This record gives sequence, C-alpha cells and structure tokens, in this order.
Amino acid sequence: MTAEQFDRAPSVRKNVRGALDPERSFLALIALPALVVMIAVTAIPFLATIGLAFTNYDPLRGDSWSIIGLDNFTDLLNDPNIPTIIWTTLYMVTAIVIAETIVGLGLAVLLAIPMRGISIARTLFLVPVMTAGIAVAIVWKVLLNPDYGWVNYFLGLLHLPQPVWLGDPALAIPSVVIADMWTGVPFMAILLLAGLLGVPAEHKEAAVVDGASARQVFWYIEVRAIQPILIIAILFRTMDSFRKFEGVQALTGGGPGLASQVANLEIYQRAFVYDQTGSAAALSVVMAIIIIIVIGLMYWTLRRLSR
Amino acid sequence: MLSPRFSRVAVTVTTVAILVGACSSSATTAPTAAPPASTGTAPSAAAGSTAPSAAAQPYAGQTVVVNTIEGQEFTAFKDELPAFEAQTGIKVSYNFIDPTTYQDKLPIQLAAHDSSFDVFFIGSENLPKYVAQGVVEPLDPYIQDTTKTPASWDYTDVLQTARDVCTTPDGHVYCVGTHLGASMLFYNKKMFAAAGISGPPQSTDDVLADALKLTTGTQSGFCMRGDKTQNLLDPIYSWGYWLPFQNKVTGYWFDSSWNFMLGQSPYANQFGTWYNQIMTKAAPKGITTYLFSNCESDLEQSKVAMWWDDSSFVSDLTDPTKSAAAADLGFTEIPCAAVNPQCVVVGPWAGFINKNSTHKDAAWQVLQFLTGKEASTYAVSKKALANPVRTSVTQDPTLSSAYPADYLAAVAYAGAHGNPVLLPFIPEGVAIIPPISLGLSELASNQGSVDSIMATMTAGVNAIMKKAGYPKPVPGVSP
Amino acid sequence: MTTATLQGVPIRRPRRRRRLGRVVAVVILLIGLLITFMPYAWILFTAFKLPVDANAVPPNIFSPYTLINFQHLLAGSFPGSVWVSVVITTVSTIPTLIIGVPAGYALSRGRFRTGRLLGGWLLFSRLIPSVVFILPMYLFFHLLGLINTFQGLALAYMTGLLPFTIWLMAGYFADIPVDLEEAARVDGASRLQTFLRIDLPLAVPGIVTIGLLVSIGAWNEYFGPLILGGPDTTPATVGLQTYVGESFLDLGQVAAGSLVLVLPILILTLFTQRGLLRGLTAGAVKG
Repeated sequence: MTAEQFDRAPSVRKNVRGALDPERSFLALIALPALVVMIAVTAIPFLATIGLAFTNYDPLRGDSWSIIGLDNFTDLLNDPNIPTIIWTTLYMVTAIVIAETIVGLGLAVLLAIPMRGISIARTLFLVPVMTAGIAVAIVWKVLLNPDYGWVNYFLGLLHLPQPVWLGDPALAIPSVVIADMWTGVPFMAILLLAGLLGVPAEHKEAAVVDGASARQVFWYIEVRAIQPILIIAILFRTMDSFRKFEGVQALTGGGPGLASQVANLEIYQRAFVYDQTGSAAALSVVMAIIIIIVIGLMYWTLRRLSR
Repeated sequence: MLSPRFSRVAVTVTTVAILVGACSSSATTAPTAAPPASTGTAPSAAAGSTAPSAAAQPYAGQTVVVNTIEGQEFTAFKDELPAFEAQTGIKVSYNFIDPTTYQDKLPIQLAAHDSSFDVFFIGSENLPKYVAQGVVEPLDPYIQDTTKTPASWDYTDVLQTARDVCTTPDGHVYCVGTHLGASMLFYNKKMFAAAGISGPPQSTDDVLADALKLTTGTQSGFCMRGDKTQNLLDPIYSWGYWLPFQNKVTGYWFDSSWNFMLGQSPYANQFGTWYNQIMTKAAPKGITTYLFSNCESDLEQSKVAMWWDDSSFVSDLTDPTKSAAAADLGFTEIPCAAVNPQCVVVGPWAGFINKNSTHKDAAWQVLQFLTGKEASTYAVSKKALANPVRTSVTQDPTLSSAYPADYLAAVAYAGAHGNPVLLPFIPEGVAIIPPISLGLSELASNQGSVDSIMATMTAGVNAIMKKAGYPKPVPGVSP
Repeated sequence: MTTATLQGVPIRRPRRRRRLGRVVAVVILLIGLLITFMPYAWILFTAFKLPVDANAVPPNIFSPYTLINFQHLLAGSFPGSVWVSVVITTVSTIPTLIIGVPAGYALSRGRFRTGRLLGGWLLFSRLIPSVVFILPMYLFFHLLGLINTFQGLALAYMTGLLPFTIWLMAGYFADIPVDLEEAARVDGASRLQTFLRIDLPLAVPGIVTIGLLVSIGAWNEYFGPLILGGPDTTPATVGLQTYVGESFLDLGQVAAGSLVLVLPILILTLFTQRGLLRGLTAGAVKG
C-alpha cells in the first residue's frame, strides 16, 4: 500500500491490479526465487506425499505399485495402535507447551529484574537454544541413565527418589519433556524477555502511582503487554513440538512399548524401517490435518482470550 | 498421466539445483581417478592368489564403491585393500555407514535404483526381500565363470549353512558370507562362582534361575537388547528352546499352514512368561532402552553376569583394552532342548552386488577378494573375525590361537545345531517385525498380562501375513 | 534504560522484603544456570576422562585426565565429518541469504499475490514435520542425482532455513522507513537501485545476525543429512551418532565428539549474544 504512494504512473496503477504495476512486479520478481525454492523443497514433496497415501507403493514392490484408493486410511482406522500414538503425540505436545510456557515466563520475569550481572545470565541462557538437538538428546540419554547418570546421582544426594527415567512407561514422555525443556524454556524466556523489556516504564510507573501492587503490575501491565509475543511463542513451540523427531528417536526410540511412540517416529519407522511407504504417507496426511486443526483452534482461542 | 507432471517437477527442481550449484562451486568431491597410494610397492602375498593375473589387470581404472558398517572384520578388511588395488588396478572406495541409518536407508536406495554403490554387506536375512525387489545381482554366473573366478577361490570351501542362506529355493546364489554370527551366551565366571553357581546354565530355566540368583542391589544377572529399535534380535535366539524347527523357509516362525508358531499354546505363555520374568526381575534397570552396546559395556564392567547375543562380540569381550572383565568371561551354547535339535540361530553377514552397479565384473573381483581365504585369515589374525564361514579358515591354527577354547567349542556346537532361518525366508520377513517388537517391549516393561500381550502380538503378525496374501505356497516347501 | 527508570519508582513494599525477593530470584537463577550447564559439565568432564572412569558414579574429579578420546576421534572418520559440516554450513547459508533477503524485503513492502502465496506457504511449511517431506524428497533427489551432494543438502536445508530468513528479514526491513526510499526515487534511482543502495546497506546488521542464526541452524541440522547425505556428505551431527554415538560404548568419545560439535556454537553465541538476542526476538516482537 505504502509503496504505491510514490508510483510514478498513477494512471497505470489505476487500471491494472498487480500484473503491470512496476512496484508490484519488482517485489514479485525479487521474491520469486524464494517462492520457487519453497515450492521445490516443500510443496512438491508434500503433494507427492499426499499422492503416495493413495497408493500401495513401497520399496519392496518397486515399480509395480498401483493406486488403491482409501485402503491405507481404512487400515489406519483399523490399527489399534494409531489412537494410542496420536494420543501420545498430543500428550507430549501439551506437556511441552504448558511446562515451557509457565517455566519460561517465570525465567523471563527473573531475567528482567535489573541487577548486576543479569546480562551475563541472559547470555548464558542463550547457549542451550543454540545447541544441536542431536547432542542434547545423546547427552540427556546418558544423564538420565538410572545406573551411572548424573541426574539420579544428584537426586540421591538430595535423598530424593531415583526413578528409572527412560525405562518406566509412565516416565518416558516426562523424560522427553525434561530434555526438551532444557532448550525450550530458555527459548521461551528469551522471546518473552524481549517483550518484558519493551514494556514502557511509564505504564508501570503510572500503575504504581495509582496504587497497584507489584503482582497487579505484573498481571495487568506486563503480561497484557507481552500477550502478542506470548501467543506467537506458544504457537511456535507447539509447531516445533509436533516436529520433534531426534529428541524422541535418540532418547527412548519410542519405547517402552508404545509409551513414547509419537506420530513422527511412527511415520519414520513405517517409511524407512518397515517399508510401508503408502501407509506412512497416509499417516503423514492425517497428522498434517490434525496439526492444522490444533494450531487453528489454538490461534482462534488465544486470539479471543487476549481480547 | 504421471509423466508430464513428473518431468515438469524435474525441470523445476533442476533449475533450483543449478541455481544452488552455482553458489556452491567445487563443493562436491569429484571422483578423481587418483592412483592408489601404494602403487609401486610389491603386492603382498595375501592378495596374490585370488585376483586374476596381475599383468592383465582387465578392470584397471574402475572404481568400486563398497558400503558396510564399521567394526570387526569389515574394519580389518580395509587394511588389505591397498595391496588388492595395486594388484588389480581397481580403485576401491570403502565406506563405513552408521548401522541404523544403513539398515533404514538401504531399501530405499535399492528401490530407487541407486547406482552410486556396487558392493554392500548386510545380514543375509534380507536376501528374500532384495530378490523380490530384483535389486541384487545373481552371483552363480560369476562363480561358475572360470575367467572371472579362479578355482583357488573355491566356493565349496564356504560352510553349507552360509551357502544355504545365500541361495534362493530356485537355486540361485545372491550373496557370499563373511561371518557366521551365531547366538551365544556370554557369562562372567567370577560372578557365577561368587554366587555359588558351579557352571554355565544348561537350559532356559537354568538361565532364569541363575539370573535371579545373580541379581543383587549392585549387579544384574542377565542382559539382552531391550530398546525397541533392536529388541527383536536377542529374544529370537531363545525361541529355539521352545519352538520346533519346521523347514528352511519358515524356520520356527510359521508352521506349514502359516500359523505364527510363537503365538500358539503353550509356546506363547512359556516364552512370554520367561521373557517377562527375566527382563523385569533380572535385567538392569532401564533395560527397555538398552542397545547391544549397553549390554556389552555392562558385561565388560562386571555389572551384569550374563549376556545373550551374537557370537561375533567375542572379539571385543576378550580384548583387555576394552573389557575390564576380559579374563573372567566364559562362552557357551545352552544345549538344545528335545523339542528342537536345531536350536542355535545363526545370522551370517554377507556381501551382495547391487543390480544397478555399472561395473559388476570389477565389483565381483572386489567381493571375491573380501570373501576370499586370505582376507578372512588376515581378519582372524587381527582378532576381528571370530567365526569365519570358510572351512579352511576355521581349521587354520590362526583361529585357535586368537580365541579361547570354550568359545571355539561353543561355535562348533552352533555349527552342528544351527538354525539358518533368522527371519522367515519370504519377502515379508522384515514386515512382521513391528508387532513382535512392540510386544517384547511391553513384556519387558510389564505393560499388561503375558497372555494378552502375546495375543495382540499374534493378531498383529496374522494381520500382516493375511494382507500379504498368506497362506500361499512357497517354492521349495510343500505345505 | 527502561528498567533503570523503574528502579527510581518507590514501590510500596518494605525494603527488606524487596531484598529478600532479590535473593530468592538470584538463587533460582543460579539453580537454573546449574541445570543449564549440567550437560556441558558432563561433556567437558567426560571428554577428558579415560573410558574406565567415564561411567564412574559419583563422578571422580581426581581420576587422571587424558587427551586419548580426542586422539581416537582424530584417528576415525569424525574429523572428516566436521569438515563436511563447515562446508555444508557455508554452501547452505550463502544461497539462503541471497534468496531469502530480497524475499524478506518484498514481504515487508506492500501486498501482492506472490507475496501472499509465499507468506502463507512459509507458515504452512513450518507446520508440517520434515518426516513428511523427506521420502518423496529422497526419490526426487535421487532422480536428479542430488543424493550425497552438497547442492542437494543445501537445497534440503532450505526447507527450514529459508522461511526463517524471510520471516526475520521482513521484520528488519519493516523498520527501515519508506521515506528514505522515496527520497532516493526522487533523485532518479531505479527501483532495484533503491533496494541495493538504500535498504540493503541499512539492513546489514540484520543480515549478519540472521546469517549467524542460519549458520547455527545449518551446523545443527540432523534429519536432512541423515537421509539425503552419503559417505562424502556426513556432517558432524550425523557423524556424532554414526561414528561415536551409535555404540555408546565409549562415553569419553561421545563426550569429546559432542564437545567438538557444541564448542564452536557456544563460543559464537557468547561473542555475538547481543545481535543474536535481537535477531531471535525481532521476528517474534514484530510478528
């Protein structure tokens, strides 16, 4: 819109909507390479995945595959493990997002306190965010080992119970969440910190002058001010949790039993380990729909809540 | 209908690729045909007899790509390659690939008709699948052709079991073995003595009883891979003590009417109870995340008293630089139960030639060399090959000087009581793994009653078999 | 700045309680830092221990220190994979910036169909797990001979890096006032010249920051190269799992490998933290 202000040929702008407008064509032109790449690396493979979902293609069959309609989807419906896997996925995503939002907000508030050395602390909390996910998973697998892991060692020092983290079905997902929080909480905190530091001091001062307590200042001024960031951070974290792969693969391998078998792992194993390409593609499509619905609902709800 | 859209896709992607390629010039390593470093040095005697006359060098200048995993004989083979390259003029690009990635990626690479590699080594149980896919080259024409294979290479020197697993029911040979991995029980004699147990267990009941006796607050009696990605391999070693062997196609997996044998009464309950008991009461905490390496490490540090796995681990276990318990370890085969005299599962690793290889003759020369007597003997001398598949190598004094006597006795027992059907010899062999793996993981973590877990497992296997069109006749087996 | 003024505000709370609150805050932060650095402590400690001592519980600070883990690492395939990481990080970051920066600019200026399409697709591609893309991608890449090539990996990395770059760059360009462009246009500069001479130089700090973040992202990439890479293109992330992690036997080597993987990023983060903080938060604050 703003760009049109200095368009030299108003007559052209008037009668052509888009195509011949030099400003628009210039912008479209410089955005084109990115669009082409994105189509090549995401749109086409995604369409291919949808296509595969309706075939019985698998590496075993090689070139003699055929279109089988909805069979892959009906097989998924009849598979007793699929509801468990989807439930586990939602459980993990919910746990990660809730835990990281609460702890992350708390950390952000602490990091926003002006005191000596706080900028060093802010920097140090940035480090886990930048660490390779695979290294995080490998190291946490060792740390959570019930025999020689440091976590249980320190718990023992504090006379706390020493659970069998990764081997106990009830603790498999919590273990994954803990390892994820290690990067997720600082990520959340850093995003929210930027928002907190951006809250104009005058607003807070005004509230204090009006007799607001510190708690009221926090809830009604600060949290309100960072709401847009909070919503985006929560949505991003939700998307990333749905994408989580190596953090589960390297940590628990989906076990014990189905206790931490999330959809991504199931898709990967069907496609790459057990040669069930069509069925993996069908599950991908189902998950894509679920993710879109969840994110859509969250966006809608959060938007309404923030009004 | 598909092809025009497909070509458009190809054009789009290629355009992008060129774009990217322009920005990353010289990024790829061009396969330059540099002469092997050792050219000029005298070829070692080891390489001498297998390759055809050195003067001829009919395959000189060709590059053969070999894919395998790191460890044991495959690492040792690498030392032998410079001499082979000097001898034949063939350049060998010898690559180690992470085992998990390798197992997962190979099927797609083969299905995509990937010609970037010529020779690959993998467990021979994958053969039926590859043959069904039509992605591996039959080797019998090469073996029979005297211009390609000298008589001294001698295929009949390879043990019958190892030849069986590489031969399809119609008589074609698709692979050549390098080692005969047999299931074996490793145990810590010192820990056994401390617990007052006089000798190695003589039955699966003994294994459970001893394991319980050996489990204390600081040590565990028994170990087996429990991680869901690897947990099939070890328990199937124990199945032979309950399930009778059927035939060379279905092993103990299915009876002649394609019923999943482990799901039948009383086997389901017998095995299920044993496995559930030993994994939950006598195995280390967190056993359901144990890879083979965790068991190995625990045994080497005397944290577990028994480990049931592949005999090839003997090389690491007896190496005092890696294994603190090296001197205390014993090796045994549990004697077969009356129900099944062929109770010791053997899972040979073997070399294949990629059907899409563009220089199969040179590839055969490389595979021939790597599966020949000299390469095997060298690997044995490096203590990297514990159960060679060649009779001449097993009788060579190098072997008996490299490995303990009780180990060799166990290997001999395995040879006489071997069950070569690691997975059913049908293309769907791999496909039945998921429900079994899941059930085992649930048994090992007490997630339900033994009977219900085994019933779910059986239902899962039956569903997969039914979808694949079974029961149906299989060549070479009369129902 | 903003916080400094807040300090002067008399909040109606006894001073002692405020000081107590401070102490509690500091203690919680310190505990948080301890937890944050426990994995690093493990890496650093174990990397310099003999394999025999690596599994010791409790960790023994007095057992001998050694470089043997690094010697083993150097002797294996890991150094090669670190070099691959360096190359792949370079050849994926540069094209990502070349393509992504102009697109970010376009997205920040005006609305047009290509832009809306791009924006929508960026969000969607972030929604869908990469597991969904990878199999068809493998088949296409194979058809085009891109498996085990740096070009192929660079292209694959863009699935994640490009949306990120465009998103954040759009935020940066939105900060550059349109008035500056108008002035240049009045002086007779073409549209392209305006972008190259006015906007691009002003965005350099942003490009550098986002370039750093993209490099870090590329360095940490695991799933793409796991499937689409090959023996010549195995980066250190996959190498860590492949050459050392898979067996988990030698924790000393796992730690040494992790240290090599993590240390460059750690140092980079500490030196460029101000820019990184801004870069990370810019997108969110604007979004």
